[in-house]
Amino acid sequence: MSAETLSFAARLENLAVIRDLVQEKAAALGVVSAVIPGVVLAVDEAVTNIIVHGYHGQPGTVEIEIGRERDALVIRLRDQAAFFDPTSVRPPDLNVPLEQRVLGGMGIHLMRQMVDEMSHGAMPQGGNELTLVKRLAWKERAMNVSTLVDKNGVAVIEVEGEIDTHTVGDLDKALNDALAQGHVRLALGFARLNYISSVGLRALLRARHKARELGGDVRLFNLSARVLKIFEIGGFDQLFRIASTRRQVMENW
Amino acid sequence: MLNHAREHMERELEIAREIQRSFLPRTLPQIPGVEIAANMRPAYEVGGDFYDMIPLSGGRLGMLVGDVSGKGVSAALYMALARTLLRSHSLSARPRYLSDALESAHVRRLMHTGSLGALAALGAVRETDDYLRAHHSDTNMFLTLFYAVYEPQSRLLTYVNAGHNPPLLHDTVTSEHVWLQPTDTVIGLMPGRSYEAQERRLKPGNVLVLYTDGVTEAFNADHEAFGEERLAQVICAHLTASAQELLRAIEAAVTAFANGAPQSDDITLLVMRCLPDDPGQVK
Repeated sequence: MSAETLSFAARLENLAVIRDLVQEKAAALGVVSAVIPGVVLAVDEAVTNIIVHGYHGQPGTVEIEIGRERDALVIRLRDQAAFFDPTSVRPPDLNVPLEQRVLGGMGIHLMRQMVDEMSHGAMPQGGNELTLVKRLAWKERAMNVSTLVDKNGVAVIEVEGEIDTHTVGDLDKALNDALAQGHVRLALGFARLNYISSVGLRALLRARHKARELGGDVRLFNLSARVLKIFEIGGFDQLFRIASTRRQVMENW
Repeated sequence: MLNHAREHMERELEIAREIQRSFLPRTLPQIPGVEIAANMRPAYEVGGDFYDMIPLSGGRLGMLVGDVSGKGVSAALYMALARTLLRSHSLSARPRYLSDALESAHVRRLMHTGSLGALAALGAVRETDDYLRAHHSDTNMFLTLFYAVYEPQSRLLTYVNAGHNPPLLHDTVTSEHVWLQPTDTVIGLMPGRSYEAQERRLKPGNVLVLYTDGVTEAFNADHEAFGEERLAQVICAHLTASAQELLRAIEAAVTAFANGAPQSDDITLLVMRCLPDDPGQVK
């Protein structure tokens, strides 16, 4: 699953092979088919820029590295051409009539549209590294956490979406932040939570452990039938105090 | 700097994968009258799944599928420890557990069916829970486990389900199925659990499917889970398949369902199929 790096001569006739390679690798890394053409287009534009504006037709190489990092497809393009940072190019003014527009800039504009992040760095031995990041569409906003502290000092943390290996970091952070701010009573609302994996249960256990050491607790309310079933399979319904409403969770607390 | 961090993470994941791989049985024991197939497909970030098959005294077979909470090297190490404890306690069948167990009316009732050897092996669950709670509770890690002991002569299946996704026992003759629901909570977390065993007498044509939540909680692009119903449907559609064919069919169905969405958890499956008594009847 680690990233693969391939090297090409900086010639426009290699673009077709590069497009095929990106297409193939992106599919193999689990990128949903709907977003692959956009990624291919972005790489095509970037490599064209390197060949035409970086090397100015002179011989050189373009190195392409494609890999998956967490929930994103990451593509790095490296060259030994003169310093050029495409991210510094201003977006074209789309209101200006086509024939009056400054040449260039359009390809870079397209790249920005097709990927979620674009960053540039100068290589220590000379040359450029351009990084394109495309978040895998299906994982976008898989979980949302929001915390508010009520008038009695209980931190009410609403979790929406799915808690799994990818998203558990955000939940951990929300729980730790609340504890670090001195809120030892944490009420977690799961009305809009669809799923919690064992990694998520462990995060809740850790927070419960810390909270109880400090004289507080972690309590849960408003679990969907689906999430409650996950708690019941493991016996976690016997460990956590689970209430059906927020009002109920606050009773005697 | 970023490159360095990435390489470090890659290396750690490779170590976790290596630990996980090296703790799977290299060969599956051959048991008369049954076919067995097992496989694990690790997720990119490596969960804590494992399976094991332990040849026990009296021709019995121990079958385990478990899932450690967590990911990466820490989950892999906890899994390695739990797996080793379970195996070692199963094979040594501690007298302490047996004498405790004999006090229990529940055990005395089960003993009438002659599964004392199975109960002794399943005592490993409580021994492992005791150890993990005594020495590793500060990690807040835990383990879900389905552990079954099968006796080929009597076709008796004696099992403990410690907070694990319920395995499916399907009767291919009558097309009825039953989910072997949890009998107790997860291992390593809550004191005072007895992990009492349940039992079922299997019949020729029965198929038992053990799995981890990587199967039923595989998501597609629309955030739907594969679920227990789809798992049951795949089994119904492959009534005459061998254990190996059925395992591949379930894996293929999960892959097709996810339709390119990345696999976020380990996918582990263990399939046992009781062969018909008369070899002439094999389809």
